[in-house]
Amino acid sequence: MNYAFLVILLIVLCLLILGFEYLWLYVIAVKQENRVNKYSTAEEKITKMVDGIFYSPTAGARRNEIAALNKFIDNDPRIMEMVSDRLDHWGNYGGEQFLADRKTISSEIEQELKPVEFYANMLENGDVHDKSYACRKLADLGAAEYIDKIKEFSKGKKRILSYNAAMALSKYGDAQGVADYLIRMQDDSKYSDRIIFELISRFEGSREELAGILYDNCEDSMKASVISAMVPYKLEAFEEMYAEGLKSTDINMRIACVKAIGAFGKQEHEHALIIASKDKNWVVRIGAVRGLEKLHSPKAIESVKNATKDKEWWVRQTAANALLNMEVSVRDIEDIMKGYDRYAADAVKYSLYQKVDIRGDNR
Amino acid sequence: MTIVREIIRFFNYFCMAFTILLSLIYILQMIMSFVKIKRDTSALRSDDSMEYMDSKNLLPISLLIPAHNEQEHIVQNIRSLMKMNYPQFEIIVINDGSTDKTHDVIIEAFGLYQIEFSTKISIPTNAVKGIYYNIEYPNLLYIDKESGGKSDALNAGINVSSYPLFACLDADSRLEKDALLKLSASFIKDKNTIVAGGIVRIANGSVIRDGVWESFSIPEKLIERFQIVEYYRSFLSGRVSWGLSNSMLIVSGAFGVFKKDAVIEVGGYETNTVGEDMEIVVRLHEYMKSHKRKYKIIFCEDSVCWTQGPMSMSDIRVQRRRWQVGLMDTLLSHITMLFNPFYGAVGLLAVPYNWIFEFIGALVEVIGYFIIPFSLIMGELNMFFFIAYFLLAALLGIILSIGSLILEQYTNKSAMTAKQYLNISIYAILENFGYRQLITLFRVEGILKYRKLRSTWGKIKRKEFNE
Repeated sequence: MNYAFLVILLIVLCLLILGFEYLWLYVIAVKQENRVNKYSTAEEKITKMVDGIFYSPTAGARRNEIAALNKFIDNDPRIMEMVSDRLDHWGNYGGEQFLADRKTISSEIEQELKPVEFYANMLENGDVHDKSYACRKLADLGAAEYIDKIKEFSKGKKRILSYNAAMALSKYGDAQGVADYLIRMQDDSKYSDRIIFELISRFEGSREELAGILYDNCEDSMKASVISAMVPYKLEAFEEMYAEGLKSTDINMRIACVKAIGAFGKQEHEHALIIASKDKNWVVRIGAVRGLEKLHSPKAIESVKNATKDKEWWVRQTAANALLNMEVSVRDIEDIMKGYDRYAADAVKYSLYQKVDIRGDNR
Repeated sequence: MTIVREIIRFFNYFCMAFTILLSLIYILQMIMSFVKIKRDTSALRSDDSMEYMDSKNLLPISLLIPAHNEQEHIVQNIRSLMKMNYPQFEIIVINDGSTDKTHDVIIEAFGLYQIEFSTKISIPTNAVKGIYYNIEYPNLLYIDKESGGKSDALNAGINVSSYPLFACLDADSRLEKDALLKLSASFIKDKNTIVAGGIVRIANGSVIRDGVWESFSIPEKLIERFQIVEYYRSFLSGRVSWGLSNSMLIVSGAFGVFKKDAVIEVGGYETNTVGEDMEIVVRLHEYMKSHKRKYKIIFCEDSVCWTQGPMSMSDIRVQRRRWQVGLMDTLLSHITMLFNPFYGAVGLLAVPYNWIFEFIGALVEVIGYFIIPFSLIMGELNMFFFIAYFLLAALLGIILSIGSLILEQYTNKSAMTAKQYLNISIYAILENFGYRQLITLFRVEGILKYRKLRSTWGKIKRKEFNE
């Protein structure tokens, strides 16, 4: 082939691509601009329309206003969300005497807008992202009839969908569903422990039941994460198991159990926590110090004072902070500040600076 | 004489082939980026990162702001960061031996006072003169230290920080309110993530109030308009595509979030370089690969940091020379990674690409600027081919620039009106005739003055944010 012809062909091709790019740019730019305009004015319109419904003088006028709002939503999930937000605002507005009226009006709006049907339709017919979003919205609405479908999604191979379905199950408080998801997650090397924490903190069912299923069926690493995630909920039913876990050879298990035992703040765990404050692992020692902080007993104070001399900076600092939160005498603090251990004194000094405004009245 | 003529002829064709090949690689990157951006944009519909806003389960972040002579911007930046949407974060400002009033303005604005501080020295740094705090601003710490450069300042910040993640930020940039929330989700959804970089957008012409973008008007100066297009191309096409193969070699010094453990493990930021943002990322690649660890270095185009682009050609010159020196520093200090299959895509693609096209490429291009017209005058080059090459190179460049504007449309859906996009597209064409060549000249100057330029902070005068 003639080179000159090839070059000209290439130039023509480039010009065609450029023309196509320009057209594309123009079309999407106009489309985006329209979208921006639509949503920037939508919020104001929705406020007026929803307020109009609540202030309607007659039932007939209200029906008309609701129908107009429904038409405005036009199957747009973003607009639907804006409407929900405005309705939530009304749900929290005004005094008790309006409550009955508001409930009636809200149920009228719901009957007309049919949000559950709206999201159920997305759940059935949408792509993976629509389905994911719909799972969460249906759970927010408490639409229990879709729980089986959502459970099915949580077992699927699409990570985004199964994650969102699991979050929805958590909102529903479905212990078995969430537990099944977490047990399957054990084989997923990507997800961070934070997801377990979030699932458990969003869980609205019996955490005791959820913990029971998970402790019976999980591998040790997942079990340790679940124990850590359950710490704020102080599940007494598992106290014995946690105490046993302090003797485990698995570091993660010891860390989780020391946090769980410490959270109870019970005097009966004092001895176990004092032993843990001398553990080989510094994270376990930090957990023990935090647990001892809640006890305020002379022995606990003595152990925390000793921990300010720990070889690990983080333990020293945690112990110094803990000590200032315990009912210790000025003498105890002075002992450390004037003591031979400079590192312990530094840690306590730094903690003091964070709690006391040293400028006093000289500001 | 014939040999000289042959060499010149060979070099002519080499330059032409090189430029066309580079443009084709860029276009391939753009296509890959388009696929990824389209996928990510769809995923935003199901994204729940905003639901983590009040969650205690997000990893807390230390925001490190190294500052050297930043008296004009620093206080406003700290105030803007205090309003970030993030459940738990601390701001650590590190004054690296400023000679202006940076120290005084920070102390005065926040009523800080010196405290005795207990620090775990994980990375050695120059002497810290004092640490300042105010109980009324519990999440703000200010470190005053002896000058040691940006890397040293960052290392000092890492030593003082208390959280498992840290973000390095520029003192004269602004983060979008939700930027941290979006970026930190990467660490949750893939626990192997060790670094996540956000996109840096040019703020010239934009009004940004409290970390929220409000409006845009085309900036006054030509140079600002060119930079807008240039940043789109660099971030949306380049970084997105490298991020896809986990072989991104640079996370902007203006905005990146790092796992602190990993950075301490590799010894912190290298102080003997001006390209610390690239060097740390390359070193992390090298370390993780040689220790056979699973890791991810990702780019998140949805997490935005705004920066004011330089307003004068002399400031652009300072900036680009510095970037080139940083690139050279990193490539030379990690030369063993070049074409080394042990490092996978990093050793076989990203490092060679940077050597050939970003480093040597600038030299080839500039030599070509002189030799090709010279050959034309000497009659060594066919006029038809010269014009054809010139047209083809320019057209490919324009395709790339307009393509990056399309990518921008998909990521930032509300920035400009259709009219503004079409207006900016004119500069996407014009930048190929003069501006890009000038930038290449600055890069070559950076290569030639490599030794001299290695040890400066490289201050650039920037415009105030339009707030």
